[in-house]
Amino acid sequence: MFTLKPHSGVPIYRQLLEQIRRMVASGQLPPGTELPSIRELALKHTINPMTVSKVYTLLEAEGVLERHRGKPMTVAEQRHAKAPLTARMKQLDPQLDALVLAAQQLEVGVDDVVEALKAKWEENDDRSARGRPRPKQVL
Amino acid sequence: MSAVVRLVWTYFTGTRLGRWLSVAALSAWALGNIGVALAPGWTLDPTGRLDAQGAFFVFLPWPAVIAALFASALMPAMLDRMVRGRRLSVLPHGRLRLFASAIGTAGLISLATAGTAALAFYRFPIEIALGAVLVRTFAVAFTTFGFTYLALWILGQVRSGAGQLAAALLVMLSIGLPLTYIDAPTAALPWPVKLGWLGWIAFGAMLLAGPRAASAAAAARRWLGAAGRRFSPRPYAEGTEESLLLGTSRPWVLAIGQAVPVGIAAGYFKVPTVWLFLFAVFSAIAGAVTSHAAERSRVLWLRNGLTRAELFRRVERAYWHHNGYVLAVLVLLLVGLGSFHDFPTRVLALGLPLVVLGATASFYLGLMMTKGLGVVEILLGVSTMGWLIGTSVAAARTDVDPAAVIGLQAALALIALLYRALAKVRWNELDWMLCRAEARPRGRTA
Amino acid sequence: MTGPHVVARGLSKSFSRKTVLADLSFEIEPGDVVGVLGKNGAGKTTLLELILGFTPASAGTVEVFGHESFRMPASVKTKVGFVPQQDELVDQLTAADQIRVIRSFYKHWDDALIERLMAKWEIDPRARIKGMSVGQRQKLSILLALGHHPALLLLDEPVASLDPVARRHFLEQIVEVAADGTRSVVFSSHIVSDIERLANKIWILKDHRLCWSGNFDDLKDSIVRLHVRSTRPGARSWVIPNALSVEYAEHYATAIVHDWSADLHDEIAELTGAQLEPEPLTLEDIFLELHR
Repeated sequence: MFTLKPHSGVPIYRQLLEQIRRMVASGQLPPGTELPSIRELALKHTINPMTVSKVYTLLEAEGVLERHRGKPMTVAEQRHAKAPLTARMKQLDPQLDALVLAAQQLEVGVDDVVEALKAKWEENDDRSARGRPRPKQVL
Repeated sequence: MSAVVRLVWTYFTGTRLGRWLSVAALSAWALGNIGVALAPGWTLDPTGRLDAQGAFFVFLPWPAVIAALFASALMPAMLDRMVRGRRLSVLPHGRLRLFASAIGTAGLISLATAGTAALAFYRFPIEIALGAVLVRTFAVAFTTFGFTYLALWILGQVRSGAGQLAAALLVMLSIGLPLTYIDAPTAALPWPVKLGWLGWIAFGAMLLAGPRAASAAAAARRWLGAAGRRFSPRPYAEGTEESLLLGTSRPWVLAIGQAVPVGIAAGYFKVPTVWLFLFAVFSAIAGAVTSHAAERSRVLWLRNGLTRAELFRRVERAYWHHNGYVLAVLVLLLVGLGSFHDFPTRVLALGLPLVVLGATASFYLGLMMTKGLGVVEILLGVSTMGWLIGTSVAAARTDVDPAAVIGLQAALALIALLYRALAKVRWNELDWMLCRAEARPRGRTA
Repeated sequence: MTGPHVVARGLSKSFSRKTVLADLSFEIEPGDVVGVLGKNGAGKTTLLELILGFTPASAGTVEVFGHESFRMPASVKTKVGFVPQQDELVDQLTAADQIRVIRSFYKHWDDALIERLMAKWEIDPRARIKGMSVGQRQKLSILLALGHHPALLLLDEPVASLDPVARRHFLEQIVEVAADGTRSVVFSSHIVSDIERLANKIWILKDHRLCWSGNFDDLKDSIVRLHVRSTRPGARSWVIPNALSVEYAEHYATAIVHDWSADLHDEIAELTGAQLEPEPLTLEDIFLELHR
C-alpha cells in the first residue's frame, strides 16, 4: 500500500503522513477504507510501531482518519470529495521546487520547461492508455 | 524445575558421553552397594588384608564414583562459561544458584562415596564408629573432588594434546586420594583436606562477589603483570624474538607450576613407588610442551630464510632452553622430597636419570607431532608412558635388580634418540596446513 | 504506575585512570526503542554493562525500575533481558538443553514463543551448539533473552553475524516486542540502517559523552545539509553560523548545520543573501558528519 524509504533522510513518519494524506486527497483511499493496524503496518515495513501510532494520531486529529470501537483506523468522510485544488497544488510544492532549481542550474528557460512538461504529460497519458508501466517515481 | 536441579541434571546428562557415564556410574554404584550389603561375610587373611571376595565387593563402587566424576565433567566447563559471561548477572539469583549447583554435584557424589564407605566398614570385621566414617569420608571426598573439578577445569583450558594428557593424569591423582584415606582412617584430617575447604570457600566467595571480584581480579592481574615485568628479564631483547614467537620465553610458569601439585601430594603420599610414578608423569608433562612447536614455528619460518632442517635445530634449541629450567626444578623437587621422606639412595640414584630420560623422550615425541594428534602419536605416547611408568615402578621396588632397571632406562634413551630422528624426518616435510590449528579465539566485533 | 524503565543522572565510568564515559544523563520510557551509536571503543558496551549492573558506576547513578542497577534485586532481574556481544553459549550442550538451563531461572517462560521462533529462524533444537554456525549461535543467544518476556531488553551488537534474512527476522521480532508500547529496547549496532528503521530515540556516544540523546525525528530535523546558492559570486566570504562543516565553490556553499530552525534559516538567508535549500540527512551521514 505504501512505499517507505527508511534511509532517504526524510523522517519515516513524514513519508507515511504525506502518502496517506495524498492518497486520501486523491481518492485512492476512499472513505471507509480500513487501514492496517499499527502492529501490522510496523511489521510489514519493519519500522517502529510508535512511528505508525504517531502518524495515525496526527491524522485522526486532522480529521483524515477516524477510530471506531473494535475496528481498525478507517478513512473518514472527507468534507470535500477531493481536497480543493489549492491544497492539492501545495502537495506538489517539493517537486516544483526541485524542477525549478534544476532548470535554473542548467540555465534552461521557463518556456522550454513548460514545453517539456506538456510533452511529458501527453507521453504519460499515452502510456497509461496503452497499459504500459508508468515511469519510476522520483520522490 | 528449580534452576539448581536443572543445572545439576544438565552437568550429568548434557553430553552424550556424560549420559552414558552417569547411567553406568549409577548402576555400578547401586550393584556394588547391594553386593557390599548382601555378600556373605568376609575375613581377613593372616597379613591383615581382605580376601579376594571381600576386596572385590569393597572396591566395586569406587569405579562408580570415578565414573560419576567424569560424568559430571561438564560442570567446570559450564561454570567457566557462565561465570565469565555477562548474562549471569541478569539471571535472578544466578550466582547463588550456580554455586549451589556446584556444591550440590560434588556433595551428591561425596555422599554416595561416604555412604558406600560406611556400608563397607559396617560389613568389615573391625570395630569403628560409623558416624565418624561417614562424616570424615564425606569431608575428604568433598574437598578432593573439589580438586578433581579444578583439574578438570584445567583440562578444559589446555589446548594441546599433550597438555590434556597431563591434565587428565592430574585428574586421576585427585581421585585417588580418597581411596588412600579410606584404607587407613586416622583421627585427624590431613592438611590437604583443610586446604580443600578453603578452596571451596574461596571459590564460593569469588563466585558470589561477582562483578566486584572480577574487577578486583583484573586489578590484581594488572598489578602482578607490572610486578612481573619488573622482576622477569626484559621480555624483548635482541635475539629473543624466537622464544617469544615459540612461546618459550617464560619457563618459570611451568617450572614453578609443577611445585604446586607436588606440594599438595606430599601431604598424602610417602611411598617412593608412588613418588617415582608421579615424577615419571611430571617429566613427561615437562617434555610435552613441545607439541605446540610445529604449529608455532610457522611464524618463524615465514620471517626468516631458514630451511626446514635449520628451523628444526633452532626450535629444538629454543625449547631445550625452556625445558632446562623445568627439568632442573623437577630434579630439585625430587631430591628435596627424597630427603624429606627419607627415600633409599637407590631410589634417587635410579629415579633422577629416569626423570631426565622421561622428559627427553616426551620432548622429542612432542616435536614429532607435525600432523596433529593422530593414532600413531597416541599409540607411541601411551606406550612410552607405559614404559616410563613400568621403569619407575621397577626402580622403586627393592626386589628388582638394579641392572634390569638400568637396562630399561637405556632402552628409554634409545627410544628418545629414535624419536629425535623421526622428528627430524617429519620436519623436513612439515606441512603447516596439517598441524592441528589451535582453536581460533573468537574476536570481538567492536 | 509505569514510570521510566531506566533513569541515569551524571553517570560516569573510568577504569584505572582512563575515563570511558563521563556525565551521562538519560531516561528510557516504556515503548522506547533506543539505538546506540558510537565508534569502536566509544563505550557502548560499557554503557550497557552499567545499565545491567554488571559494573558499578564511578560517579552518578543509574536506576532500573527504580532500583540501583548494581544492586539489582532478583525481582527486577526477571524484567530484564540481555543479549551479549559474544554469545555465552555452552558448546557441549544442545540448543534445547541450553534453553532449558536458562529457562529454569525464570518463573514465567513462553515456551510457545520460543518454539515458534526456533521454527521460523530455523534452529534445530537437537543440534549441538558446537556445530552451529556463528549466525545460528547469535540467533539462539537472542532467543534466550526473549523467553521470559522482559520489559527491558538490552542488546549489544546483536546482528553483527547475521545474514540479511536473519537480520530482518530479528528486526521483526523487535517490532513485536515494541508493539504493545509497554516494553523498551536498547540496542547498539554498527548497522545504521537497522537503527534507522526501528529506533525512536538515538544515543550517539562521542568523546565519552552523549553528543545526542533524544528523539530520532528531532535529530533528523536538527542536523541538515544546507545548500546555499547565489547568483552572484563571493560564496567563499560567507560565514555560516552553526555549521559543523562547510564546502565552498564560487556561487554556492554546502554546509552541515546543527540546531536547524526557522530562525536559523532566516539568519543565514540574511547573512548570505542567497537561496537556501535544506536537505535531510540519513542517520549514517549524520553520524559521519558529527565525527568529521
